[in-house]
Amino acid sequence: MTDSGIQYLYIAYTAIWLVWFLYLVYLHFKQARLENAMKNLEVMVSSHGKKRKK
Amino acid sequence: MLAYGGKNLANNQVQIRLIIMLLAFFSMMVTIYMILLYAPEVATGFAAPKAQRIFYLHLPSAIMSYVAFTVVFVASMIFLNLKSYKADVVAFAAAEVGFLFCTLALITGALWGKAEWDAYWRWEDIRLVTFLILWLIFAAYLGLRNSIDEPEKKARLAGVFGIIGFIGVPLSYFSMYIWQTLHPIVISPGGGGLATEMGQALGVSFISFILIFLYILIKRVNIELLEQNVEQLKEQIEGDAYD
Repeated sequence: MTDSGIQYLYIAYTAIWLVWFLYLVYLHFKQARLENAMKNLEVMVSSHGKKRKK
Repeated sequence: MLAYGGKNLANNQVQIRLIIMLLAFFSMMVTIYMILLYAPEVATGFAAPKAQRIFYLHLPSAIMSYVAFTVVFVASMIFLNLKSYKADVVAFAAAEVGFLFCTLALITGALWGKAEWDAYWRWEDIRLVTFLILWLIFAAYLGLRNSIDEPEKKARLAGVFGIIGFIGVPLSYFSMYIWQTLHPIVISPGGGGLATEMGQALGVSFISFILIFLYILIKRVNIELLEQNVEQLKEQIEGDAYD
C-alpha cells in the first residue's frame, strides 16, 4: 500500500460530522413537532374542561 | 403530573444542556487540531500513516457504544426491578445513541481497514465480527421496541432484551484476547502503548466524545419524555370524549 490514506481520514471526519449533524437535525424537528402537538392538546384539554364546567 | 412539558422544563436543565453543548463543541475543535496537527504521524508499523489518525475517532466511537449499551443494561435492570418508566426511557435513548456511535465505529473502522489492509472488512477477524454482532443487537433492540405498541409490554420485553443483549459488550471487548485477531491492540493490556502526544490527543478526543454522547443522550431522553406526555394527553382527551 503506497497511498498514505489521507483521503480515508477526510472521509471519516466528514462521515462523523455528517451523521451527528443529521441526527441532531432529526431530533430538532421531532422535538418541534411534539411541542406543537403538546400545545394543541393542552388547548383541547383546557377547552374541554371549560365545556364540562358549563 | 406530566413527566415533561415545555413549560415545566426547568431553566437549570436547559442551562446544563447548553453548557454541555458548548463544551462539546469547543473540545471537538481542540480535538480536530490535536488529531490533525499535534499528534505525530506514525510511520512505522502502518501501511497508511496518515490514515492512522482515524484511530482518534474510531476508538472513542467504539468505547462510547460500549458505554451506551452498559447504560441500556443498567437502566433495563432498574426498570424491571423498580418499574421506573423513566429508566426505560433512558434505556431506549441510550440504545439509539449507542447505535449511532456503533455505526460510526464501523464506518471509521472500515475506512481505516481499507487504507491499512486494502479491505473494508475482514470476516476472519473476530473483533470485527463481534462488534458487528453488537451493532445487530442494538438494531434488534430498537426494532423490538418499534414493533410493539402497548407501552408496558414494550418496556418489559425491551428491558429483558437489554439485559441479555449486554453479552455483546464483553464478547466484543475480550474477543481480541481469546481469539487471534488482525485488529491492533493499543491501549489495552498487552498493547503497544502510545507516545505522549498521541495519548494526549486520544484523551482530548475521548472527552469530546463523552460530552457529545451526554448532550445527545439528555436531548433524546427529554424528547422521549415529551412524546410520552403527548400520548398521555391524547389518551386523556379520548377518554373525556367518551364520557
